[in-house]
Amino acid sequence: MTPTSTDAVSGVPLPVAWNGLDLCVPAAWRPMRLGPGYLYLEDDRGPAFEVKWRRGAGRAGMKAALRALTPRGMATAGGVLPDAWLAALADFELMPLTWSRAGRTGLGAALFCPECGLAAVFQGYGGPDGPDAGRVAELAAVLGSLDHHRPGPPAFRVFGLSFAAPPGFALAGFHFAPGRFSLSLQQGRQRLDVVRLAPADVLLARDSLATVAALAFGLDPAVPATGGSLGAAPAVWLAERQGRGGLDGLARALGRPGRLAVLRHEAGVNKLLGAALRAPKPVDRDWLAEAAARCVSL
Amino acid sequence: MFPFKSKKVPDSGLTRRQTLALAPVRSRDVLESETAAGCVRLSLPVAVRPALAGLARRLGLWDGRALRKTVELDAMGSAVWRAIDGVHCAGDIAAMLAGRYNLDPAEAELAVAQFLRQLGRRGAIGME
Repeated sequence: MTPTSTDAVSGVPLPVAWNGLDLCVPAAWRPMRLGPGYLYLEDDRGPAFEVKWRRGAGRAGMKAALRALTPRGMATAGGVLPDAWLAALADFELMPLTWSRAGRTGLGAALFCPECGLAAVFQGYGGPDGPDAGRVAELAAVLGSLDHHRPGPPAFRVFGLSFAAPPGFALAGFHFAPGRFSLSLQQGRQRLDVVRLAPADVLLARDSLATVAALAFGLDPAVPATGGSLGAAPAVWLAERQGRGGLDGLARALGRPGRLAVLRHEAGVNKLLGAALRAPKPVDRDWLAEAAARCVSL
Repeated sequence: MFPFKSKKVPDSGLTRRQTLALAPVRSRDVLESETAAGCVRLSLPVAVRPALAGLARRLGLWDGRALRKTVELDAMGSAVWRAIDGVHCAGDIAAMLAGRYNLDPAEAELAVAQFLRQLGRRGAIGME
């Protein structure tokens, strides 16, 4: 989740969702590193909060996660968590941890949720004397907002993009670079790519929407494009090997999947948002339109 | 082990806030012109390895004049370059970029930081 200037000024906590974990963080915090089950946030002073989780890992996963997340040989199980943190984590079994290295300290805990089997490790960063009172209060609020029992497929709300994965799809990869954030989700032999590009006016001053879409989804620019709209926004559709039979069917049968992509221009927020599905069968256009409509700018 | 020793990235020891408070300054060696599309074209001096330079001189392939490389910036790069005046800090430039292109402030900071790093590596700017 990246804060808007209004939120940053008002200090309103911002919701962040990443691959099955939902939480609200202070407006000044920004995600700096992500992993399939990993989230690391910084504020202007440096590292602020880090959490790593795995579903169905069990109690053994709690210790493994602790070893994986903390500096090797530096972390020690033990320490005392602030009461506000303990209250926020009442639903978890927990094992406090603490470490100190090069003038920086970490205080956190390995967690285990007996209800769903999720194992996690979190830590809040602080100076040589540990997290200050302000950081402790911020972290209490963050931990209180932690939600991992949301039913349905994982949601994503980060880097200016909100997206709810279609049922059955799981995160397979992601990429962030200034101006571009993309997610790849997989279900069997189907792969759904979701992309958010900005600023749209600069991109569209150089190339057409169809060319930008082809480049964004890695399609041949010669792939036929059809204009249209998605919601109220102008959009372009690109179809590759989508014929029911003939050469397209033969190519798909020989292992070259078809692809259908749609990219829309949200002029109001100056962004391009879209989705592409790679599948061994022709893609249902309505299904993809519905999936692409779930890509919302933050 | 020595031959495979990993290269450590030097840590500046600065927080992000301190880094963004630094003001980039253009190098005097950079020549600037404008393209027909209104973007900035930079002519940058290219550093030549001394061994190669000596060899080229001996073979009569180079007269010792500074070699230059031309780089054309896109619209956003041009906007950032024009904002580099030695007065405005990187944070100000990122805020300007975010406002002009309706970008997320954090993303604009990353984009500006990345771009300034590239310019710095090419010797086009310094920081003060």
